[in-house]
Amino acid sequence: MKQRLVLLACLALGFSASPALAFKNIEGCDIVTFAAPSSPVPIAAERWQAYRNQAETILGAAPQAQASVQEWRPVAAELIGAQKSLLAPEKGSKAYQDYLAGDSCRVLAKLDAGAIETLLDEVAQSAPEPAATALRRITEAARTQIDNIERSARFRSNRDKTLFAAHYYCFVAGAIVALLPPERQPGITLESFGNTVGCKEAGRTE
Amino acid sequence: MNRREFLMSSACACLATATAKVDALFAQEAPATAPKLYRCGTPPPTPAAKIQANRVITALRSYRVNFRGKTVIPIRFHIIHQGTQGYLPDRQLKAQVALLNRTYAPASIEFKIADVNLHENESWFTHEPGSDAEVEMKTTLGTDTAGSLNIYTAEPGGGLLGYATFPWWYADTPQLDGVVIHHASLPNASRAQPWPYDLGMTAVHEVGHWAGLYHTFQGGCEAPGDDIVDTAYEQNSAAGCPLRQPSVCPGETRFDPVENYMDYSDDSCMKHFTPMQYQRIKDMVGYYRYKLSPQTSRSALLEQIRKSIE
Repeated sequence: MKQRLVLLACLALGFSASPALAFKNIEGCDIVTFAAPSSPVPIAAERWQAYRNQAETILGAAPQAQASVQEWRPVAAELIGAQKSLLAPEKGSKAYQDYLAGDSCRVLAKLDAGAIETLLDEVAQSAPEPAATALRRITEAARTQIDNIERSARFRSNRDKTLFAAHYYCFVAGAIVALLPPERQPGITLESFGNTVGCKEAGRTE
Repeated sequence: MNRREFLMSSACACLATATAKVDALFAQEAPATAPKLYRCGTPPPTPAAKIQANRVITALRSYRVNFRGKTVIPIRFHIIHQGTQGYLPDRQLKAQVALLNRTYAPASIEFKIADVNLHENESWFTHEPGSDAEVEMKTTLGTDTAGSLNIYTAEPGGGLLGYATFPWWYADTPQLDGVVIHHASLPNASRAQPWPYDLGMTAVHEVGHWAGLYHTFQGGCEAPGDDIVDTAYEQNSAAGCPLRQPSVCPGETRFDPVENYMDYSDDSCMKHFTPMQYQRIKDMVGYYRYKLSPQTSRSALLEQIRKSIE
């Protein structure tokens, strides 16, 4: 009962996440890393299942006709809520803190367009059609948004630019991994999505 | 012949063909239906908007449109602050506009302050592009985005010095049009410690985007790069105040454009736009931001070009 209450509280916390920065969640990279068999932060199988179910529900309910980047933001905000809910019980743990401070913590510096396409195709073969289509569209929306920002912004440094973009790329990776079939997860690493950089090198502090 | 020269020669060959066809049509007055536009060579792997901007330039040259005369752009400053943080005195705004006028004079563009407004709002002050706060700030404050340049000064998060909207985005999101710059990037600040970005070049850089320019390192070594033929291909953005070095891009014999306003060097090392960047600024402002342009007498022709492209 206590565990269920904690889970519900975490869900509420997650879903109340502000849509102010939709498409951005650097913890999405942690989700991909923690899904591997050699995860530095073990997460119980039922929590993974809950995350998959949530992601599938959120994406399955997304209106399929939505087209603009702006229109996908509330859906992205819900997905980020689910991602944060998955990690919330671990956030204060020593294992998580050690991971963040160590070399195994990495984030995506660039998405590999071909690899993303292949992974989305895999999702399309295993996940329900509305959710798989919505995942493809939300991925495109996130990539469009960061591409637009990168084209038109001046950053103080390349490091700032890399970290800024990593938030978007990690959100995408964390969303895709949710809908991949569980049997595929052992073979998926962060590098499956593109080029990575160490958290310290990227200047990640959270 | 390097890759860019090859692309240029291909583009010119196509353009010459297109121009000849359009000239033939113009000899019999303007065609009833606009001529089909020509795609030269292999389309680059770029977003549709970028391809369309290239088609606009091709069409403008085909129709021999040259935007002449001075374009006067009214600036509406929106000073977003949080307490005393972000507050900017008039002298800094005037110094910024003077710098913009110096750097954009070769494009026959003159900026004038039309309006200055102060707004205290914490979430707007620290907003990021793409956030609800950005949308709220711009939809609340943005004024006459077709006929002026809205500049917002704030302290955007994520290590950003500034960001802008491109002119071809205007049709879809007019309420978001404008430039956002870090309040500490304006010149003439009374600062105890020097900052490498406080000479006003962020506004010069961002207004460059607003006028249709890409970063010099756009696309790295891949064609078409920044779509500007007289800037070298550049693999990565510059940082600090680098010495001029030959580009590492294969086939590129020129130096990295580290002194260009559209690179990422420190303010003190940003020195110039190139002639073709000035040309593109004129074209993009004249075509997309036509309400600012004095070329209204040719609006029928521009409308015809628009119909042929869109």
